[in-house]
Amino acid sequence: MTTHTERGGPASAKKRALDDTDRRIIQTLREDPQATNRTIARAARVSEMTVSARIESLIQDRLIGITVQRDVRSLGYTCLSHVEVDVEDGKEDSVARSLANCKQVFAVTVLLGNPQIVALVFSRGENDLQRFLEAELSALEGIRSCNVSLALRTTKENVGIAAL
Amino acid sequence: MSERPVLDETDEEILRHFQRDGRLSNRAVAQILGLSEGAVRKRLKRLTQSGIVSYGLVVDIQSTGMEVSGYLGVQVKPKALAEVGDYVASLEECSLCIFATGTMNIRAYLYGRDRVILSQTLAEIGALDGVLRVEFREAIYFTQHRYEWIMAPDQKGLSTWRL
Repeated sequence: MTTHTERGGPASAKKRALDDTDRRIIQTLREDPQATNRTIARAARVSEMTVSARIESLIQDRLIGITVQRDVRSLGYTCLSHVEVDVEDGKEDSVARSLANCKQVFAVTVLLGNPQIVALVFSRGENDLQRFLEAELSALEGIRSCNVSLALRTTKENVGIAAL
Repeated sequence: MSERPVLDETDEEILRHFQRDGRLSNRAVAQILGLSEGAVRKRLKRLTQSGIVSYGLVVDIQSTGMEVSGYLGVQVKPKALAEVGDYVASLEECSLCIFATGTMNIRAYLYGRDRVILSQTLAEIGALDGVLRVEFREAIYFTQHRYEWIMAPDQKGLSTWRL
């Protein structure tokens, strides 16, 4: 099993660039994430050993992720909110990291300027969202204010890109 | 999505393993959980056919060659909401688009190959009929993205990104 390193922080290093072999492997995996190493090797014109080592390193270096993606409605989440969080100066990193650990938080981004954080949060409805805001968000140290906007409809999601 | 089946604890266990590593073989997961390979295959088939889960490859933001990204907010007159929303969602650089409550009634996550190109994209959105205000907040970094969750959008996918 692959163990992931910590996600990027304020001083996170730039990741290595992809080469042509990486691109060919990714292309084949995109079409079929379960393709065998042999199939990928043929498409990328390299050995099976190279494919296996490359995939391992692409995952380790957090350049790609291979997973099973699950419709959140099967977890009972029917409601998405966009939550802007304004925090005391210097607290943005610690608050963003605490938010990342909340179970129903989908994504947390630290931004330039104020409010410093945007979190996308799933909930089972208005009551559950209210509970999250009161019991989990407000409990964090350093929160100044937050502004919640509900998604009425999600018109597009590109499920092939991630912040790894 | 057709009939939504209920997931039992065994389904959840199987998914947990594949979410962590989508390249695991059915046999490996079967061994860990003490199930037969056929049982794992059958359960996965049921879940993928129902549309609840799908195997996916994700590429890191940094590998996309996009230099800048962040949250877009657009304030649109109600009459123009659908049209402006379609425009934003149709952009290759848009990875998420929602109709939202509040002053900014369209919110999206947007990328730019560089800042000049992004500013042109923002200007184009600002020039659309019915757009009152465009706001862009540049992202520095993420501390979380549960890409193993997807939210059943109207429009999914787009694997056309150049790497």
